[in-house]
Amino acid sequence: MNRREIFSPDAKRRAARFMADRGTAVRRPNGGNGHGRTLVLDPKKLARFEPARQRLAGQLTDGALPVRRARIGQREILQVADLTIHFGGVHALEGVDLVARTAEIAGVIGPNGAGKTTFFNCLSGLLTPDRGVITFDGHKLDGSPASRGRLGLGRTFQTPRLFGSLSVMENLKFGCRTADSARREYVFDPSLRRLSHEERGVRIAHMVGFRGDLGAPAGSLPFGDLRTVELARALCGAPSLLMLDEPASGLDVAQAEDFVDLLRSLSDLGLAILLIEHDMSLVMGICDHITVLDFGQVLAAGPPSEIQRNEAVIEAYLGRSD
Amino acid sequence: MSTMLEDLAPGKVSRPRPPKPTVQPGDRRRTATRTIGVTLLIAFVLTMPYDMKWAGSSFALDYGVIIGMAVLSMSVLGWIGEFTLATVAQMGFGLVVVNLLQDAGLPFALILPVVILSSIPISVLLGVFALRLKGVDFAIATLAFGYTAQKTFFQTYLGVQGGFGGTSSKAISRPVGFTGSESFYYLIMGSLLLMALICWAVNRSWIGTSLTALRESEAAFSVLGHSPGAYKIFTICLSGAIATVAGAYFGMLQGLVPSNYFQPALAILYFGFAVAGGMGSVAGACVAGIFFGALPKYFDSLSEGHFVGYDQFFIGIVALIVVLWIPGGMADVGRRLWRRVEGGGPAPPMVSPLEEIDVRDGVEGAIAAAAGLDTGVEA
Repeated sequence: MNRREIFSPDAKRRAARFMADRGTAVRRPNGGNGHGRTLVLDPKKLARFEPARQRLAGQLTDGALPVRRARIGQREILQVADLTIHFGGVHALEGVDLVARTAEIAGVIGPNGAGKTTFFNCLSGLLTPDRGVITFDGHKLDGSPASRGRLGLGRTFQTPRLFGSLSVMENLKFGCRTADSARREYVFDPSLRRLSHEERGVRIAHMVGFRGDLGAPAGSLPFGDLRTVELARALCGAPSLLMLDEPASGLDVAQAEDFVDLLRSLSDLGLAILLIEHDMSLVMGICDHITVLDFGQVLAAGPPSEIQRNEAVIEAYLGRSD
Repeated sequence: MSTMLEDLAPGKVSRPRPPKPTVQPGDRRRTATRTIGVTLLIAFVLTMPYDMKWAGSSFALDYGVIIGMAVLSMSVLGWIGEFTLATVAQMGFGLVVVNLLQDAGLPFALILPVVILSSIPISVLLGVFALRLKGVDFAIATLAFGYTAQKTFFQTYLGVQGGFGGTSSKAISRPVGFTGSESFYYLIMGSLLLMALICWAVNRSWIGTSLTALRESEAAFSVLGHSPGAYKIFTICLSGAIATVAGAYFGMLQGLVPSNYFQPALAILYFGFAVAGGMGSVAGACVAGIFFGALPKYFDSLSEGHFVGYDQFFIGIVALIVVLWIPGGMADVGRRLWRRVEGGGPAPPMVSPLEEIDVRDGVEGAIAAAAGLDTGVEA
């Protein structure tokens, strides 16, 4: 059955309104413990979900219905096997395996120089691996970065790479053009496809929490806004897999909380997210699955609770006392 | 009815009708200034051969306009943050094609489109370099291409000591109706203005926006699903077409062209003109080309030959002043002056596209570069 037809429009409207009005029930697919779970939060903690509640309320006002994909079912969207790349004598990646699923946030962590960004660059086609197979949505990935972007592989960079002399809206329109030319559907909000590029840009900028001037040159934005606009631009391209390279670095506490909230919402709506992040509390709190890299090799992989207890991971981060 | 239903469809947001813009006094002044400015410019362009008669023949002006085309072809590549030194070689190809087509008896109206089409294979070949190389590496490759073309194709075709003069088979004539200096000026100036208009329109369109994005971050541009190669080759083809047409007109202007005239190193001089005009600026390139191309010829004429040989010195001094004190080039000066005339605020400083050439930072870029890999990685 088509995933979008599982719930009747009335049921979806009721569910969305419930989320918007109450903000109390957040269902996570295969959350940290590997089982579906429902979190019921006490009123003191509700404030944390206020931004998401407002976003959902805003979407309802605009006429769009957020479609909850949680627990509808996950599927493997990205399989990486034996990924290896050397730079001269430097073994940047050696036999890395990884799987990413829809409606799941997968984290890639490791000390500096572990090969995390190189891994992303191999996935997005900016680097050509020496060995290994990358399969994305049933296609073997070996084309140019542009062809991978059109297949639905979106990403942000460790240092935000907005087109500084273009306006924020022009930056967002670049993503929209890809979505249209590649005939891609927006996993997290199918109604976006029917909107003009400008309306789409406004909606997505609002969704990621950007409240600045959309006509301002992107180069004039403060650092936190650079990150949110870059995320919005990636989302405008209607990705199926979103790769975020240290997205929370440089954000203040409030922005980081909003950001975590947004990622959870996007994931719940069916988007696969691959996350590189140094903030361990964020990674452990948000990711469903974590892969730890060290010197280009997979040191450990598993749910956060396992990774937190893994001796090898602790040693890689803290070192051995003797 | 259908409109109402469409408006009610899920996902549609209501679009409030924008308020009618009110005409401000500043807008009126701007419109009036622009109208007067454009009228004066047209009058100046139309009467230039007669205005400058006191300083010398129209040949100097014709020469300057053709150099303006060559400089424009170089400046266009600034849109993708690259610079080429193959312009002179491409001009040479244009000249040879004109010679062949005139020998075949084709009318001028057909020659020009064929010359433009003939530029495409060479441009695509240079485009292949651009896909692999960046910045200075690309420029060196284009210079090498120019020298190779000079030492093989041109010398074989023209003869080592030869040229177009001397043998009737290699003479290039001006088109019928444009044999006089003034009439030829109108032909080439019209062509330059048309080229400038096309370049301006391209730069203002979504293609221009894409080229800006490509220049600012090729990695981000490509991961967003846009092919940098297609845009690079398009720009190189546009630049090549302008250079080839410039070469064709140059042949028509000179009639007698020795093979060693198209020395590839001349491209470095034209590149200097492009930087002085404001790399990437259409108007700046045209003005700088005409200025640096025509003025030394007028000096030659006014000094009755005493200034011959000093033209390069003069060009060097002016270019040095521009590069040292006006990094945005003549285009930046013009923009600031125009804003002042229009009554607007101060113009933001112009950033030369060349400042963004070969931006590969980060440890990965350094490692890849050290390992000799051309990865295009920026992060």
